[in-house]
Amino acid sequence: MATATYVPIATVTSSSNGPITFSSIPNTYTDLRLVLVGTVPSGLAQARFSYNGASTNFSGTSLEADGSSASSASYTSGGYITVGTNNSELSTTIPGLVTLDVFSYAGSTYKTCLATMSSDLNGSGGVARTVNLWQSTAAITSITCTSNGGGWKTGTTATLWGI
Amino acid sequence: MSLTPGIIASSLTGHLVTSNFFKIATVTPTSGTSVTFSSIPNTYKSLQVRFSFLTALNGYQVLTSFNGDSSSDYAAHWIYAYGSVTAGAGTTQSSMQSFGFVAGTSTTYPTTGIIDVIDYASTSKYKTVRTFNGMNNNGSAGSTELVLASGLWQSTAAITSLTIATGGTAFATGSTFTLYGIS
Repeated sequence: MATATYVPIATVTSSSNGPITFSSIPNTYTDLRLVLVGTVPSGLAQARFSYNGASTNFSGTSLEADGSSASSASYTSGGYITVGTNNSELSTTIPGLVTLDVFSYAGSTYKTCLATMSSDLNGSGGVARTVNLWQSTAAITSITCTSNGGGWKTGTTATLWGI
Repeated sequence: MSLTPGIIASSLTGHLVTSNFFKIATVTPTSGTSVTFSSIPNTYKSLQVRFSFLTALNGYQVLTSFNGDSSSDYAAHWIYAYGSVTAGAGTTQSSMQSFGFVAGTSTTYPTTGIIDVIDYASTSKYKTVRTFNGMNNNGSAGSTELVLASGLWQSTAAITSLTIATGGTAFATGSTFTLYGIS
């Protein structure tokens, strides 16, 4: 049988409520998958991601739902990827799940990713699916995960996989 | 923070045992309107296609078919978002399974997606598909789209080939389709 092709690159656990960064990502895979489970220092909050330390040229479209309605939204020319808007957000106490699939991350095309957020807060919270673009042809060598709640609460775990 | 170990462990990969995920084949088209994975072994439980592609023209569909079947055996449902619009739709008795119309210019902006084909090797069940795909071009409504879809192929034949096609516009350089088997 063929060799398994879903390989853990690194796992990072946040400390001091700070960001989580994966650096020196090898260019030997086709896609990347980032899986983060955790809480934020202050909420409710959205997850934010950036590549290679960039702070421009991000955009996205989201499809999301809370307990009563579904909606969509988009942002253009942003400083980071945003996952979760309106009521589909992360809390300070109940872990949420955020995933990021980054396609052809080492190639020379612009970089598109598909992201998810699942955050049920027992009466609130929600679910979000997003498509996001980074208008850069550079290979992605680092990913920084933050939130608009200040980072990630100590103990939050993120794993980066190469596929 | 209080986390249940089981939640952490199972969510790291989205409930996937990663040692059971295998690459079967990769296709990198630079022209043509479809790609086909053929001679798919029946030794896995599920298939997953991951893709990032560019096309020569604006606006196209993303279509799948199995075993070369072009009869009206396909159906699909979608929920999708573009700009601030959220909507759903479906189709029946289609000649190919559509998992979403993706709008916008795309020689520069990749369309990406994940297609999961469940129990593809069964000879007693119809085949169910789920997809998550999207394209963003830093534009507004109508030029960027996100689609979640489910699909059905009403056949009990084991899937031995899988074709992904556009609505008629050609693939461009920078496109990658990879088929994985999950055991």
